[in-house]
Amino acid sequence: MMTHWTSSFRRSVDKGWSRLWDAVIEPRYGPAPAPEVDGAIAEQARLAAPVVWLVGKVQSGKTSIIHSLTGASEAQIGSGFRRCTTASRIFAFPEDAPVIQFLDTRGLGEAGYDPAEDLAVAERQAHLVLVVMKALDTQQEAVLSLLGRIRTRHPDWPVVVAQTSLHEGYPAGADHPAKYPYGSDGRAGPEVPSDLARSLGWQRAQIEALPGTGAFHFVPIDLTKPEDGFTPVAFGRDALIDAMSAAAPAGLAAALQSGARGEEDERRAQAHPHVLGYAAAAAVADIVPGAGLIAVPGVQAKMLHSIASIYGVSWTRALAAEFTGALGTSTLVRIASSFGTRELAKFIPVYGQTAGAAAAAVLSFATTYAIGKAACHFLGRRLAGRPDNGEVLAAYAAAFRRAVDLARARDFRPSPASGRPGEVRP
Amino acid sequence: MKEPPLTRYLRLAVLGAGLFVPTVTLIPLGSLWLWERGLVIYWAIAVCLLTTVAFVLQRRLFPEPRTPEPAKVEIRPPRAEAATPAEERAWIEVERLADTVRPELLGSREETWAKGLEVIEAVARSFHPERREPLWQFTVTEALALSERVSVRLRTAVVDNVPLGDRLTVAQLMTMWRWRGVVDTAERAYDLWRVVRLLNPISAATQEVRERLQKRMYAWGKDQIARRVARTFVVEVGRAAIDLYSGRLAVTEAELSAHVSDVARKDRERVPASEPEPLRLLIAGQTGAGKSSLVNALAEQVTAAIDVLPATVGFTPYALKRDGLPAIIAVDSPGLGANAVPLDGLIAQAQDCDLMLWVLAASRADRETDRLALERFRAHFAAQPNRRRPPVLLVLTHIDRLRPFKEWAPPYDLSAEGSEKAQSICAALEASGADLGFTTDDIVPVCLSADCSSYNVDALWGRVVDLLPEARKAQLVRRLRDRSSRVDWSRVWSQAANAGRVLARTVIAR
Repeated sequence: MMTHWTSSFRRSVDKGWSRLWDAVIEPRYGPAPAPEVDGAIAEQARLAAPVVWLVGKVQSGKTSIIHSLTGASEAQIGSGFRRCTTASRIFAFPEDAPVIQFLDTRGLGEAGYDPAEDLAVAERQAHLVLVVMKALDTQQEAVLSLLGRIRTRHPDWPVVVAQTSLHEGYPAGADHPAKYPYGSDGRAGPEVPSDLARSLGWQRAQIEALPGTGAFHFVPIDLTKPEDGFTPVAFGRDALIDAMSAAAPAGLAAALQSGARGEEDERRAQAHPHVLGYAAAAAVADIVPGAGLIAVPGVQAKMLHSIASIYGVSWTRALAAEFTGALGTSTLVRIASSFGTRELAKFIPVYGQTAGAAAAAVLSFATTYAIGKAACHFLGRRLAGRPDNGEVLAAYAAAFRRAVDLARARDFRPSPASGRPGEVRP
Repeated sequence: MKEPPLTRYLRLAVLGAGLFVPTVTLIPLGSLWLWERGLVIYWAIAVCLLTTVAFVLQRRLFPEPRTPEPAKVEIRPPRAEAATPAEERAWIEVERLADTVRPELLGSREETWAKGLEVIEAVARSFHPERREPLWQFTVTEALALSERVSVRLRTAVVDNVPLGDRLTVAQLMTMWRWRGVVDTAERAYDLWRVVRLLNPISAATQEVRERLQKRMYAWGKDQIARRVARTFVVEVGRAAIDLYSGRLAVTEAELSAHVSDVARKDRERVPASEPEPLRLLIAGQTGAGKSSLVNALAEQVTAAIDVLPATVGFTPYALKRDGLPAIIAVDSPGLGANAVPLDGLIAQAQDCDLMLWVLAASRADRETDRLALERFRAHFAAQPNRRRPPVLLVLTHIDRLRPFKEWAPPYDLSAEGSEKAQSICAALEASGADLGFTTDDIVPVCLSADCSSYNVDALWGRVVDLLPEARKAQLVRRLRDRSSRVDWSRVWSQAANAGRVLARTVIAR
């Protein structure tokens, strides 16, 4: 009798475990997900990816800024832009699981341009208005007029102003000053040539005269190409990231702040936005109830394949087994049980759809992020031929704690206006 | 002491008989002698022989001078004279009528009259297509000036083109014919009576002249000449009509050369000591493109205020002096913005300019504002066919800011495979030309910054000189419009006073 009971209990536990295994661990071993799954994950991540609204004239340096912030090449940026509204286009980065999006208004200054559509795009997602103007270009009426309309509608929106192409104001043949000569408020120091400083000040005065209460952050920068002969190539990039982080919503700050900086390993830096993007896609899968979304395990599986391709290997069953071994059974059980709890929590009325869902999203984000980061460590060590002495697990734990902080600061819920993801991308 | 005519005739008769009778009698007497001696046949043979020899010799030694072919000097209506698109349209119309004219029309007074009227109507219609009565769109003084002009023109035309033309005063015919038109036009004009009085004696004279001309023509039977005269007639009537309707006649040459337009007068008040009506050069473009720097480079001294911030507030004229060139006023303009208000001011200035330099910063790609402004400018002149659009040059500034940024080592050879910088300049040239509708010939890249010492400004001057004839034409039409649009009140007053005097005299004479 007793044995019967224990054996039946063991059977049910085994059964439950194997079901959990099938649901959680197995997908990560499997072959690369189908392309339509890719697209769905990208849309999912896009829902959570904050939008940087670039407001500036043609050739004012918008592409250089995208390049400098994401590391994507100009050709990638050029071909990656998609039509968004009648007058604007959007570039999502990285493409497979966007963590940040750049909205570029092309119809700026044209007679019939109505910012309403672009405003709607910015309103439905976390966003930042980034004004781009050449430092010596004093003809900015179109930019000022659009900015004025944005601020009239949303007086509290902060605005970052990037003043580009500083070298146009240098004497012939001169290089950048040795030290970045602009204060944290963007005001020019005495090293800046006086005409350039006056032009910067003039632009500043024009913008500060606009309505609204939100802060303006001015950042003079000069993003040149290596063959142009200026050092550094990205003059003032750190100041720009600081200013954007100060003004940006938490998600964007996370995308920027923990970006390429502080990652000693180049591949890990390259993988970072992907990890963030997939983590966000996983969080969205939890918070937006409904069909059609790829559940967390699927997102994680795709992420592992994507990271592996960055490290130049393919995510095989053997590799997956090695990786799970490195993470240790207890971690896997925690991952599996957290998935189980989340799934259960969703069925609790009211709580499941609100606070429960929010908590679940945080957990999904953190788990996915930590798995991604751990996978980077794992693959990096493997590539270097170094044995793993618990560093992968340590990386998982550290990344998990960090991710929980990152996720708590963010709201993954898209605004009600967003509707289906397909609407963003006509 | 004068002898009576009868004795004089008698003496002449006796003298005649004394000389004439012996000579005349020689021929029958000689013939009789030949007949009686039976030598007539030999004489006849000898005569035939000699005549043949003489004829052959004549042909051989002295070939008959060829009668010169009538020179094919076609009187092309000088369409090149046309100063405005409307005038050109009118000339095309006149040319068409001149090509289809029949020479027989000169035979009939009515037909000639009708053809002339047809030409005038065609011209009037191409100038005033919107009026229901385009024929009467001129003033009395214009008509009188025209008749004078036609006399002179037609006289020289006939002398040049018609044999004996200098003796046939066809000009009078035209004068009269034109004055008939004046009578119709000026029915209510104050000097109607004068015209009517002049009409009768001269119309008689005209009839005479016309008949003489016609008789000569037919006597020669030269259809060619008649055709040429008919053509001359149509062309000259056309020219007269074009002069009349284009408004040129409202202003005499002397008045025009002395006339200084309002804008130029205002310029002159601000720029001392300039020539009568200098060429007005408008310098336009976006804020910060380098308009004021261009003024300074053209003037070869710092006259316009330049700054990295917008410095030019209003339209400011500057006198440009250059050896061998007429006086030029360069009008600096405030920078063009995206909104339409400053554009209206610019278009108003463009209306009063003879040449425009459009300044564009090569380092900036926002050419939409420039494109819209130039589109407005072109449309503005397209809407006024009686004005000539001033020529425009595109001046590409800030080429030193093109890639590679740090390099500035002129000169740059843009024609061949040049350096990277030269290629950047070429690319900017082509892109801006394509965006704004300029051929590469009409784009001059320059560098005006302090480090460049006005690079390529001489080439710009060269292009300006090339465009001077075109600019002159535009200026002529502009001054004409300016002059004729103004009511000269002092003249109106003196006209009124004279008319009063004439009336008073007539009343007193009665």
